[in-house]
Amino acid sequence: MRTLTTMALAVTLTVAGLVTVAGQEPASRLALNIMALSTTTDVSELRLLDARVDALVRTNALVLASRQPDVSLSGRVHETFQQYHAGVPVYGGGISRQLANTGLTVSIFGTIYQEIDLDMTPQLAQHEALALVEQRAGAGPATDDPLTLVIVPTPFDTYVFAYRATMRDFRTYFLDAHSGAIVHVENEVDEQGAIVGIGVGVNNDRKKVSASPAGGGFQTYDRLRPAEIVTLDLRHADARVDSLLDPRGTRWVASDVAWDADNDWRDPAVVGAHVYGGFTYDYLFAQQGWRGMTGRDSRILSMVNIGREGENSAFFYPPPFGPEGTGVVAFGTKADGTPIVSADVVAHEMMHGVTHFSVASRTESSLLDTHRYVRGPSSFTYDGRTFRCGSTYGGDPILCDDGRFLLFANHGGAINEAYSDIIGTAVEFSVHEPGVGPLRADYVMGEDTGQPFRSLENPLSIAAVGSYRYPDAWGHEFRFLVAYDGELIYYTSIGFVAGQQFTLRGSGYDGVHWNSTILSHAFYLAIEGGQNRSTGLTVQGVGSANRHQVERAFFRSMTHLMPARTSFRMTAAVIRQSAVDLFGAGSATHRAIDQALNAVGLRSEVQ
Amino acid sequence: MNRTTSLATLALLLAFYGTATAQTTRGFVAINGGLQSGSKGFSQDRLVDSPLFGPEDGTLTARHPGGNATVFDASAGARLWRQLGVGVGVSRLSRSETVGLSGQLPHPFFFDRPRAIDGTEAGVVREETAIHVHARWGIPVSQSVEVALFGGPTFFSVSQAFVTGIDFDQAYPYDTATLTGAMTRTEDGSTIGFNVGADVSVYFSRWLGVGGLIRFSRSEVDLGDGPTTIAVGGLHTAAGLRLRF
Repeated sequence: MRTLTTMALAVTLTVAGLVTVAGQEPASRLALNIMALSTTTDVSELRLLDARVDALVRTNALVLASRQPDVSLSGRVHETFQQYHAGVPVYGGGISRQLANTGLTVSIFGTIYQEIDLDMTPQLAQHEALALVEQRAGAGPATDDPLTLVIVPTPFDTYVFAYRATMRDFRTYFLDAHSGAIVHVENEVDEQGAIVGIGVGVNNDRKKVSASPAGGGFQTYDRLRPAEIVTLDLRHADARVDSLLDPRGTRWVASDVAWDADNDWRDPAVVGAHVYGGFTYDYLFAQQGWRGMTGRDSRILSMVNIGREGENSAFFYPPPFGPEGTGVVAFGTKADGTPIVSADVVAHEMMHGVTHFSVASRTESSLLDTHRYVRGPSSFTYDGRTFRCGSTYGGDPILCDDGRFLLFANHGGAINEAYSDIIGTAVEFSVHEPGVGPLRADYVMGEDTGQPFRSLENPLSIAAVGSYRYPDAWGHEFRFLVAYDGELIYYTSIGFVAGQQFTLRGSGYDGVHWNSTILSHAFYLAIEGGQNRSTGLTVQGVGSANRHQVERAFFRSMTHLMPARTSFRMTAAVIRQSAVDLFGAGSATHRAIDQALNAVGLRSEVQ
Repeated sequence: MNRTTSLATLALLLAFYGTATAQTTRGFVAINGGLQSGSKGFSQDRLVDSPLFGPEDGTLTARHPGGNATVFDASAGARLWRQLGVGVGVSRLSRSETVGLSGQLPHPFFFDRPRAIDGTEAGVVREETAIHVHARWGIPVSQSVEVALFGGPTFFSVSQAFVTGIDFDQAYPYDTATLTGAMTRTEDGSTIGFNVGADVSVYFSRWLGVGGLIRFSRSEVDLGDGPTTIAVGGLHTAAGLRLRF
């Protein structure tokens, strides 16, 4: 999960007129979200938009970044275009265009940033920029690659010409190439949230472990699958863990790999991570036609017994981090020592990898944190004080607009988490028989580690913050006040959900885990059907026998269609398009998904 | 005529003919070629192990079909008293079988998800050498035709190839496996059984003639791991040359 996100404070706002095209969503006054679906967009408008894309390509405002065949739909091709301005990429700007085998455009998704007007000559040299970032990060660069220049859109309709630097503290910094200010930070860690409770580990169930002989014994080195799966046992050696995660640290060696003398593995952390990692590979291969995390059968590295890094957490680190700089999934332990390695959790983290690599391979960036705000209350009370616009949080001004506080939500992070829960659940159903209890497939996350922490079936059944439940519909999402520290904005611990104020004692990770259940609940409804408890809308699901159809529509929407910068609304449009592509407009699967998205408040463009 | 009466009548007739016509034959040599039929097939079940199966074992059933085989036989004997004599015969057969194979192989990733395999393995050889010791009762029907009835113990020596392992192909995701070959090992054993039969000889000179042989021999022998009990012997139907002196 994204643990820290900061953005530049708007300095100036420039208003641009938007071209009215069906399927466009104003992400801001300068960003044009394009959602042209084959089902809801008039054909002539789709062609008009297509022509505009071609025009932008001719002027090099859009540059073809990738052209890939659709592994799940024969004949389809996906083109991804990166937006450029004066030869510099616009971070998160670009579109994905799906072509039929006739060459005609089927759908277009993405974001085009308009009216960029910047001085494109950096005032800072690379080494100066790097020094500033190192000072801020307290760590050196992750790689020896030169810093890249990008144009960073801010949530406030401004642009910053910035250096981009990924550092060894697992964050990517965006530094204003003129002023030297840090204007944006991306945390590169996709992490499972804290899980508190009791458990029995991996339930004493016996599993087959695909190992390899080594050193007079056996290692968790799976060579039976097309992608090698290697599970490292770091034996809670913190220094070794840190070194392996650090892109400038040491690479993994044979002695890092879990080893057993008689191939009868007794450590449930090793067994769970290794075996369920394999099962996740199997699911992706068989049900989605996707090979490993990268889609190219690259080696999959996982780590267990990771010491303090793994206290109540599991996570995915993208490249350049990890034991060979290609990313890693890692699984920690709960406070009682239970390893967090259930089928759904392992698949959840690996799906973060799929999300990262699939989006990055098309768009040259991962699925980005996308922060959207709404205007909230004009005042609130905290710690006995009444706050109004102009008030500060820890001495920093809280963002307001027109006398009302701005309430932010991280859409991209929540969507990322939702897809991981969705595929985590799908893998669980592919591994276990449906039912209730240990080693049974259900729509609850993490129950096999002792305590469920999210429910796709009934998000409201589990408390997220205090007595506030996970949301099951848009409009009930968690939002936060953000403050400005003079350089960056950051999420405060004060949030609102359904008009109610709450306060966090720790990190809320932008609420991405909490808000994820809006989308993952739609996945549940599309399969099983039922009534959304908040909206009252009813869905006719495809039935569990047809669950793979819904899984395919969701999975493909991420791996083939999703733009790097997305929102809940755009994601819903992308999922609908994916269902239409795979099963046809009006098909039972399309209908169920459409109803489910409507039921969670993500209504289609054309009703 | 009941069964007891018939047998008594046959014995009297044989005694009469033997007394009347075969006083001068002191011994014989017979060389025959023919078929052994009635060889029983057998099945062999065994476990199949592989490093790819984990703690589970696969199963394999090899079905040896049995059936006919070419048999060569040489016999010799001598008259001891009146029509009673002794003899010894040696028969040998070699049969190449196509063994049917079927079984289930464990999945490398999952418990209790076996994959069925089936196929055949040709050229599985069975060799059987039998020494038939017998007492015989000669019945000279005429100067040129002799009938003999015989019976006694048979000492079998058996060499049987067994399927001891298999080769198979599998590819990710390993939901199926294909049998590509089998490994065999030959086991040897011996046992004692019995033989009974009849021989009819027709001489077209004082010493030389032709004849036919019907002989049934049977026993069982345990061979190989397990072990596997297999039946040996069968019904020999053969013909060949006869020498008498």
